Amino acid sequence: MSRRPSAAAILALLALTGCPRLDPMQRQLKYKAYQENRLAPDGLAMLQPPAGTVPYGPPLDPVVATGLGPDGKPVAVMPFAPDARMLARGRVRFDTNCAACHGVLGDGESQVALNMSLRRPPSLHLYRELPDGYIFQIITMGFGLMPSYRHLTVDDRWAVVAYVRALQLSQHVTVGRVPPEVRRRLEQEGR
Amino acid sequence: MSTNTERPGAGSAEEHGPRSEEDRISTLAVVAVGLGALLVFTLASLTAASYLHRRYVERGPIAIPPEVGASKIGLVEQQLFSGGPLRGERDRARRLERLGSYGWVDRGAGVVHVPIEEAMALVARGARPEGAPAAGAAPPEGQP
Repeated sequence: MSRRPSAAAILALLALTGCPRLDPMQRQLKYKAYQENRLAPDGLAMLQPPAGTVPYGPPLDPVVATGLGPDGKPVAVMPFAPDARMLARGRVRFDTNCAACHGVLGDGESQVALNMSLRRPPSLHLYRELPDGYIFQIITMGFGLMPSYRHLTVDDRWAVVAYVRALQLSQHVTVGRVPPEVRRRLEQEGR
Repeated sequence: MSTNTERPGAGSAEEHGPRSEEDRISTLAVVAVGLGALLVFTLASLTAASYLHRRYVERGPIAIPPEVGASKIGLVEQQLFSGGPLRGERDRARRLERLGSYGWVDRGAGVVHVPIEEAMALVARGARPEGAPAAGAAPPEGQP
């Protein structure tokens, strides 16, 4: 091949770079929400919903959605009483999302925690005095190295809060509250 | 056939105001500045390479730092997760056993741990961990 056709080919390729994008899907005419739309009756691109439109679900109570009370402070107790189904759901979500760092016992001991040198995940049993809404906020917004778990649904986050309470309770019960036969067995241990 | 695409919101030429002054820059000057910059960068690169090469010849090859291959020093110190049974896995098995059984936490204080199922049943009946705030308690200061 002679040198002249090669140079011509390079020049042709360079000239192609000056072409507009040839893919019509890359640059499309479209309306954005607050643009003008002369085709709409009110001239706005963001169309009004048809008359009689209703929301598909009831609006979420702000306390449930945020864990904050009307005064902006975290609520002490979750806005609904936990039941067995909710706790079982919270256990699954906790084991999936939280136990990797906080440990299955919630005491901050896990393989991931062993590899964290500067700031290990804390034991959840040291924070029994925190309000439920505060725990919900931490799950929602993250804390320190812990990322946000906003991708969990609101119900799932409250279920995790309920399960954390169960975990805290399971590791701190006065011996008087256990069944008598268990208490006798525990008393005999270590003698 | 018109080459202009009809776009909503695109007005006439008067909407854009007076036309701006046309650029009068010599193409030759632009090319000369570009070539000059290339020449400067090339000379600088050659100078730096020759300086580093001279330093290398004077000092000889540098030994591999002992930190290479050791655990990463950073925000999260990484260790290998593979190779043999992991301490975390052994701990997990022990903790799972503790999660499902009775035992002492603090014998002197009379505190025990109970199976998680029992604790879940207690929470479902309205029990709260010791120290957990009750309804209406004052929240702590600050936000997470």
